[in-house]
Amino acid sequence: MKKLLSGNEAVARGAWEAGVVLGTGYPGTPSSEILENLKEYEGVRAQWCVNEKVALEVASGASWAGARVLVTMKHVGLNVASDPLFTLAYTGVKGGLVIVVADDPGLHSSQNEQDSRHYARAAKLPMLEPSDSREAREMAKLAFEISEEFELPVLLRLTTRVSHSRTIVAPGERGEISTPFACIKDPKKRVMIPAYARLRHRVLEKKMERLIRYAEDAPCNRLEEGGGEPGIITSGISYQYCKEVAPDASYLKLGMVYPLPIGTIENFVRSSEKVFIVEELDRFLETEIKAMGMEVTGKRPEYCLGELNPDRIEALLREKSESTSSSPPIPVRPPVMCAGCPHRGVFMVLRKLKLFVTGDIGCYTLGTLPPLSALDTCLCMGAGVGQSEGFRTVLPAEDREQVVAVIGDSTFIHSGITGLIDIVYNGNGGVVIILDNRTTAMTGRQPHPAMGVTLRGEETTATNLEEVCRAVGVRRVRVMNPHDLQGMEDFLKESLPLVEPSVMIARAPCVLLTRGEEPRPYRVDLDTCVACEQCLQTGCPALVKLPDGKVRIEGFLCTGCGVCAQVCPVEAIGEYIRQDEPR
Amino acid sequence: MELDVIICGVGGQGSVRASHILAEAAINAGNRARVGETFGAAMRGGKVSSHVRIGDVYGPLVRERSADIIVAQEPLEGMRIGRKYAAPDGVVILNPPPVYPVDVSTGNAVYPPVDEIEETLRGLAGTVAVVNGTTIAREIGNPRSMNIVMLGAAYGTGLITFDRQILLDVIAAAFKPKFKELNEKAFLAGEKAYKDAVS
Repeated sequence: MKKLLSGNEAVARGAWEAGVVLGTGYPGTPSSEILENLKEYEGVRAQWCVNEKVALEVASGASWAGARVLVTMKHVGLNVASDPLFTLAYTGVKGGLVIVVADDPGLHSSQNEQDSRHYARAAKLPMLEPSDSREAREMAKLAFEISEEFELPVLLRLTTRVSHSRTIVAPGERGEISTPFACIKDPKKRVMIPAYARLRHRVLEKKMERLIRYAEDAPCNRLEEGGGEPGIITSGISYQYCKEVAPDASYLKLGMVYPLPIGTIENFVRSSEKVFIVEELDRFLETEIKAMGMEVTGKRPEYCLGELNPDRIEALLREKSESTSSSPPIPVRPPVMCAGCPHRGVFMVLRKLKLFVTGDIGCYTLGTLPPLSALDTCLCMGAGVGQSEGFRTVLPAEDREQVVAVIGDSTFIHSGITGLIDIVYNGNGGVVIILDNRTTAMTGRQPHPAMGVTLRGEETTATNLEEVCRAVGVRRVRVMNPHDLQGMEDFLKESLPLVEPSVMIARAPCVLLTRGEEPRPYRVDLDTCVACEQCLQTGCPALVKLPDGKVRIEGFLCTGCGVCAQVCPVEAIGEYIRQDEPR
Repeated sequence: MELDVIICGVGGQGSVRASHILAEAAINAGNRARVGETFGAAMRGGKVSSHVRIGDVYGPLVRERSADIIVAQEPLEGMRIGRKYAAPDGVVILNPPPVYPVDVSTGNAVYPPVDEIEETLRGLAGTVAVVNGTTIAREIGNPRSMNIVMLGAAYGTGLITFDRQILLDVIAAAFKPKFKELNEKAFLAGEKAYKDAVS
């Protein structure tokens, strides 16, 4: 039965058919739906791990025991997992281990648009790249075969456009699983002390030589000799776009983007008058192929930025700059913190106190946009905690108390705890605010260890954030209601000048978790409203400015968080009480 | 059949869901289909567009100036998508109630008047039909079925050539059984509203 599946659903399906018994990962757009789908299948355990590094470590253990394992993450997650990755190439694997890495050209929801293909070359690992959901399923299965044949982890690279597009897939059955799994002592392969690692490096180089030969006949590399010109070497989603704008060209469609089949490429280049390399982001294939000494045409620098599409590729193949048409601007619609979002109150206080706020990745990164304009840094997961320490360390004493760090609950567990320990160990005080909305909100409300529930919905021991903070040496830990502006302001004013560190846990559930509960909307008394627009500075989407400058509250959006009422200087905003209700 | 459709709107309006329904129905009717979704970090309130490509096509994205039908569940998003993708002989179906972006509700940007948006789109597409899916859905008794009203309006163009029942079956399977009748009503009301709008 053919099905319309997203690339992510197809990877989960392919992995399940390949006999995967464990799936690990950390949520990250556009990869999150893979494990969420895998968990629906029988005979496989899918789980969110603390971070991508742990996910890969868990996976390597299971693989060394003999099991097939899938690991999923977004491109920047692979940076976190890169420490085990590079040495896992030396040790190799036993049960097939496939690492899905989802790149985000165009930065739909990321802090950079890095090209993860470089990891394949840097770590010396094979990498496959599908161009639609059908290939995503097939290549997920093939990746497990390659992984076991060469005893190496295999990278499966997706991009947003493949992860989040749906094409027709013909699912198959689940294959045999070779059990039992066991602990087998083999220190020369598994303990990377220099004496053993030197030997394993040699083994890895031999494997790469074999892989280059394998690539020549790899079933995922395909020659489509249309007989026409030009010749195009391409992979991934770019292949689909090329076929659309140049249906009569000859194609070498690479499903395996590392290592490359030198002989096949040589023959292809020789048989065409002119050969283009068409690829999204960096000139990865172009650099490799030019290094082989072959004459091919790459792309202008502008095409290294953002996503490609058929229109851009048409210009690229004409070796032209892109035409930029400009229409008059219309209002933008960036994602916004929801009405009632518990982050809003915290940022209102931080803005009022004119603090310098170090932060990172989550819905709360939106705190940088007007009108809140209260988040000053976002580098990577967990960074704000260490950065606040760095600022405070070099700033003159009188300026230190303007620095504060914010971090989400899931992010704190992912990579904030180590930074907090460093503040305790090396720092000179400072306040870390944990924006605890009881979920991993931005990527779609995935559970995390402090929630006491797993990906599969089972109850488990919940990590207690306040106990963690106390255990690492923070004595001042206060749990606060993020809708209580005065309370938070008082705690911050009291804590910022201290030489000992403080943690404020601003705890209230994400409004998307409490949807369906009876909301208690507020309203504006227009007779009292003085059109000062203070409430509009909350950036709450439930507030609408009227033509006379006064403000109305959209009752169906308002959750009754009360933040706007607290900033109103004339007490014009209050809970809406129906006339027929007794007071 | 070959048809490029874009369904766009604001997070929460059901654009992606509607696009899945259309693609699945197209496949059930014996066509090939692909869907390309763009929602980014939009948890709620961000812009959403979903491209449905029916026929023997390759990429998941509709090419510029070549959308046969644009279903705009929100006018500003209809303008955003229409300016880039509307085909000169294409159809734009516009649900007129605006959803204001924060910049507009805080008074930092001006929302273009809806009749101006309509006018701009008329200059770009062959047909612009205003179908108030929001009002129709509310009248039927389920405001959340606005996306189904708009899907019915898309069917009203006559460009979707497979049988209506195939779409209604997919819609019925996509929601709880108790919504079957309401959704069918919504779809048919949308189809009629489109025909009234262009007659």
